[in-house]
Amino acid sequence: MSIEAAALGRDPAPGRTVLLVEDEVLVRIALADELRDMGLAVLEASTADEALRILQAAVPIDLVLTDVHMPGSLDGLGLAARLRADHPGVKVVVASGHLPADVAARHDLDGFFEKPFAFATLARQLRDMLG
Amino acid sequence: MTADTSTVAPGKPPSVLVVEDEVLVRLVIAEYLRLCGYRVLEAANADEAVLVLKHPDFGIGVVFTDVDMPGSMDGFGLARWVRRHRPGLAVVLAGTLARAAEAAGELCQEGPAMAKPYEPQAVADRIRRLLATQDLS
Repeated sequence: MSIEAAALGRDPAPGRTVLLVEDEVLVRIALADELRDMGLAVLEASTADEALRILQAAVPIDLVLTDVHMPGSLDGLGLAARLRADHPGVKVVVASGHLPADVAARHDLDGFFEKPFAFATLARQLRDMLG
Repeated sequence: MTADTSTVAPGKPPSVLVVEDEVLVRLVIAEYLRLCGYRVLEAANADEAVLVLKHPDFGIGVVFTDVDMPGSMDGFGLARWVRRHRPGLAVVLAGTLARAAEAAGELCQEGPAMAKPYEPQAVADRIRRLLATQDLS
């Protein structure tokens, strides 16, 4: 709801818009559904390039939840670095099945989840971050 | 280039699959259709769309697709795939931005209207402004 509301100049869902970045479409749809069921507004990107395109168009986003390994010019960690540099107000959570925890720790992330993760755990952390 | 959407089964409103490679267009069209009450799934290209359409549980009744898309199939190829493998599905081909906004408006006029949908012109204007910010960057 928030993108249309924001697009037409009304107040978007304050503080509760998540940009989900995931290249596997069935995973993306399933996760987006669960996030919407939590009451979050969810925008979907299939690559980091799409995610940056959304952010560069000044679409209001509160948190980016991203996979790591994706096709295109940037992976999820590259996206996280660009977000820190260009959109510092946006929280960044990375979810990956392939990334060692020590690599994750070296990046400036608001959260990191190792796949497979229990959605309830992710939901709890997102609620804490978004309020 | 619209197909007749009256082939959708009565009762539960159908889900709409929006297939569009330009992400700013895709997200505005998808949110617009959600605002008027549809459940909307999004695919960035025809290959993603086929994966979604092969999944048994989504209840998709309408495929709303761009024409020019990268990948193994364009919108016409996807429409042919749907006619062959999912003959009950309605396909809306929207080859221009204006046509996409107009077709989304038609779906909202016909469809489950839980809230008054915004005018298609507003959708087209918003997409144009979002794309214009990209061109300047």
